[in-house]
Amino acid sequence: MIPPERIRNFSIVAHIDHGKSTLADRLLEATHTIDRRLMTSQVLDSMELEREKGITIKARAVRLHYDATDGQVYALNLIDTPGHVDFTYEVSRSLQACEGAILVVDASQGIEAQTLANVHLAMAQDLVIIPVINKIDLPSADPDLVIAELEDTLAIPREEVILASAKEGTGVSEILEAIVSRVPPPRGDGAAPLQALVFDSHYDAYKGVVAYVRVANGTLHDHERIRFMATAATSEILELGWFRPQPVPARSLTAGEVGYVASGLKSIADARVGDTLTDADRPAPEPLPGYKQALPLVFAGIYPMRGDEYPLLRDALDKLHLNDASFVYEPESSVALGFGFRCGFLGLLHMEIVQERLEREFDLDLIASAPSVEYRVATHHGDDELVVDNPAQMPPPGEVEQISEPWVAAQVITPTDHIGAIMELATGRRADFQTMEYLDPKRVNLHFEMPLGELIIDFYDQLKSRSSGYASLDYQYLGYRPGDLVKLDVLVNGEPVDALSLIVHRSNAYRQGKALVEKLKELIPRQMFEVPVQAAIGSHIISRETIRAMRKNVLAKCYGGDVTRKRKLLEKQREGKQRMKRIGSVEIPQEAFLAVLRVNEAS
Amino acid sequence: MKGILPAWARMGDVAADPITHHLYVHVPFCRLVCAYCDFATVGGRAADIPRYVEALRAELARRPAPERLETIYFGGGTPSLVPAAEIARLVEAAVDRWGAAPAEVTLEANPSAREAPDWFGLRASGVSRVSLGLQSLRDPDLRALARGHTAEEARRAFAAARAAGFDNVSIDLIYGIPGQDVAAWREGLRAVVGLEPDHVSLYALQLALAPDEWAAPPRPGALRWRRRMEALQDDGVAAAQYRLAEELLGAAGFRHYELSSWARPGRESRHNSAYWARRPYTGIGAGAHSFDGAGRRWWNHRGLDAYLDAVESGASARAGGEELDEPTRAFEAVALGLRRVDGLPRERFRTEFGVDPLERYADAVRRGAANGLLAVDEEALRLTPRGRLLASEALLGFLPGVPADAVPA
Repeated sequence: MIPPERIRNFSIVAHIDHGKSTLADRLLEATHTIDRRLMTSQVLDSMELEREKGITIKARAVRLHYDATDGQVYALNLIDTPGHVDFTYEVSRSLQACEGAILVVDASQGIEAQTLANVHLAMAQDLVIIPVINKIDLPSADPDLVIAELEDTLAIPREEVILASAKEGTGVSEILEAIVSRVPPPRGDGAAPLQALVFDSHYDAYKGVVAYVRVANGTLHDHERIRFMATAATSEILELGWFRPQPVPARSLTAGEVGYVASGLKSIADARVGDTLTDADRPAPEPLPGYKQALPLVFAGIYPMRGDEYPLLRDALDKLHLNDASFVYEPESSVALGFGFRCGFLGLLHMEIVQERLEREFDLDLIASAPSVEYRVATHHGDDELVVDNPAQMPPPGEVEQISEPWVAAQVITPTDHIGAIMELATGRRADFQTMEYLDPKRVNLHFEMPLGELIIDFYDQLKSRSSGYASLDYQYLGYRPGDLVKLDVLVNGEPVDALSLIVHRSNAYRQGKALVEKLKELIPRQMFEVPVQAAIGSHIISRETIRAMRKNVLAKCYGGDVTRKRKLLEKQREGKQRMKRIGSVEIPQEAFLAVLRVNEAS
Repeated sequence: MKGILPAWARMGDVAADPITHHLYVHVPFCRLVCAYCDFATVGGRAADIPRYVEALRAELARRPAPERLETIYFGGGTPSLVPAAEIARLVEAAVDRWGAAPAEVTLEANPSAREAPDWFGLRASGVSRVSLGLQSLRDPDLRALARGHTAEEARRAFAAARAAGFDNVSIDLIYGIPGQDVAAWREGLRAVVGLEPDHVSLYALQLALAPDEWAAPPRPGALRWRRRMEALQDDGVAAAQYRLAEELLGAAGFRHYELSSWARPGRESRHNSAYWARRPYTGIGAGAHSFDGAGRRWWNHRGLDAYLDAVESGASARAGGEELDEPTRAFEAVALGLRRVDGLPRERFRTEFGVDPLERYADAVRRGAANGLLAVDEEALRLTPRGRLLASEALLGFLPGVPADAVPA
């Protein structure tokens, strides 16, 4: 048993690709938490998708036993955090479980917007920051510049900075020593009523909901009856313990410790991130501060490619929701796409992840509509505001009195070379420029306020492409503001395709309508007849393109050696068609439903 | 050695005779490999021709010789690069193997003056039909395709074949060539009609890479060329060219008997007709396919060296094969039957598959008819003139395992 004064709880804050997962791997190796031979690269990122995208989606908590140079054994709890803008709230809860944070900054790239936001979160919670400049082995590394940046923007003293190369293992022992010497041990009263912060959870088919907790006060005992204070869900603990990184059962977890609690509960929605776990029989008078329910900001329709897979999609969403309570879904139907679900996500990446998991883990072919935000609509004949998260449901222009949309505060960190291009992009997206801070002579932090609806439509991709990949983005929700917004409809072969409707600002409607039909002309393959594609506001057509009829599709020759091959070519053609959705008599490929995201791409 | 047509051999109806067999001999060698070619070809290996001919003979000797040999077809590549004496030995070997002379022996030839074959020698070798890879009688088209011959050479090659006594000469033409508008095509087509060939095959220039494992991996230069040329193609022009050909060739006395084939009466390709009637054939040589006439098809190693190594070491040249299940056989019957302008004979389909094709493929037939692609009468299911241009669209609905709502309305 390691006493609380020899426990250290810390997390790692870093931008995507700055080396967080690699550093975590090195810490696990250096403390013999995991055998080097058994080490799969990036142990903490266990989901296949996480490894591919190089990001951490679910926080993980691993207990390391470290023989410090003072001759004592310390328990170091590494609490991994998601590193993306969609998951700011999750990050803040993970940080709340810690007393220290390692700030990892790439020696060539410097601080990015997301990192800055997370460091501010950590500082606001009085965490000790251990600054680490990683990847110093790279030829492009410029640690001095990054040190200056840390001094200027975060007031981090240069003598605290540790230079490291997680890839080569340099700096790892210094980091471990710094955790022991700089991060304070957890405080908390082991005898007080139980308060344990839930900072993550997952669903296990055998153990039910497994909550990842940091005990703030009191002690958790095996088989104790517990209650989640916000959701009021109660159960008896089936098992508790630590992750090393595989679960190791223990008898108790006391104030200051980090571990897991298998609750046997059946719904992950019962153990929400930020909730407080307490003793059902001797509850704490109040929960730990800071809990809020994560609100979806980005919405999209998800439909099965084939109508008969609707029940499979519903089951898949139910199952996925067991492990990710932060997305919401409810049935909706579209004239064009049939039966599906309107889903709400924390952000664009979250949406992408959910969609990919549905396709990959449940083997579904899906069509997703372009993302949208939630509009609030005041009508001429109605006292209550309508909430519209699907453009297709926007009332006709004559009935609308006013439409309000969510705005965000956005920060873009970019090299000064790209300021002009980014300003142009942002103002084209109705952003109001606020201020510009210099992080160092060559990099600035631009502050904007802009409609979220503009940000979710390929703003990030455009930002990356206009800054040669250097700019980074972070945003926070501000609130609703009225705007002169109109619904833009798309008609294919004269029929409105509801799944292609979008809400745009009136001043941009013509430009966007034109760009959209041009893109659709490119994305919809030629049919056996001519197909007009139109954009309209109400009954007013604002743009039109025509997809020429297919004139010829015949295999030129077919002799003895060609029969098998030609049959296979036809099968391929058919597969292509099966991946399309038939609307009226026109076959529309999946990409077309996301055309609005691609109007800025060169054709 | 020209065969006499038996009474049953009404063209396009080879399958009425149940005992024919057909031999395909692949010759992959080319002096120049065309950038648009997807066949098993190889350039710069002319020195291996004698070795290859030996391998063909060895393979032929090992293959069974069932039924009665009706036709031989030397395809390529450029079979006319093989010396006439070697062709003669191969024909002789086949005749020995089957114990009878075939009714039709076709050889594909290139019109380039630099590789002019010994036409008299070929005539004496037993070849009865020549298929000339003319491609066009207009120099701008030939330059666009980077063919190694001129229009003048093409005329001379045709005249030389006639002079050597070939009374059955087919001409291959390519349309849909970038820069070749409808007027240019008309001019080229008229010139071809003026030569008075016996048979004409028209092929649309196919530049998009076939998305399959059998497409030859093109050299990077060829790939760039194909992409550049493809961007200049217009399927509206190609469609108009095809329609014009139907009109012009029809008026000149050619019968359109298969999607890409026109013939004077009695000059239809008996060998190719056997493919469309799903007769059994033996293919020898690199990449050649064989078919048992029922449910098995298999093919040889496609690479020249792989083929030579296999045959010379006494091993089978076979590289792969497939067993066709009943739905696939039925589909192929439809796909190949519809290539014939006379269409798929309903009675024959019923005999083989026990059900009328209109009943079995009710949905596809109904949709095809609604789209103006398919026409039906008492005897046959056939493509309409519009359907001949959109045949692939019409066929998709007949593929095995098509869910009812997955094909175009």
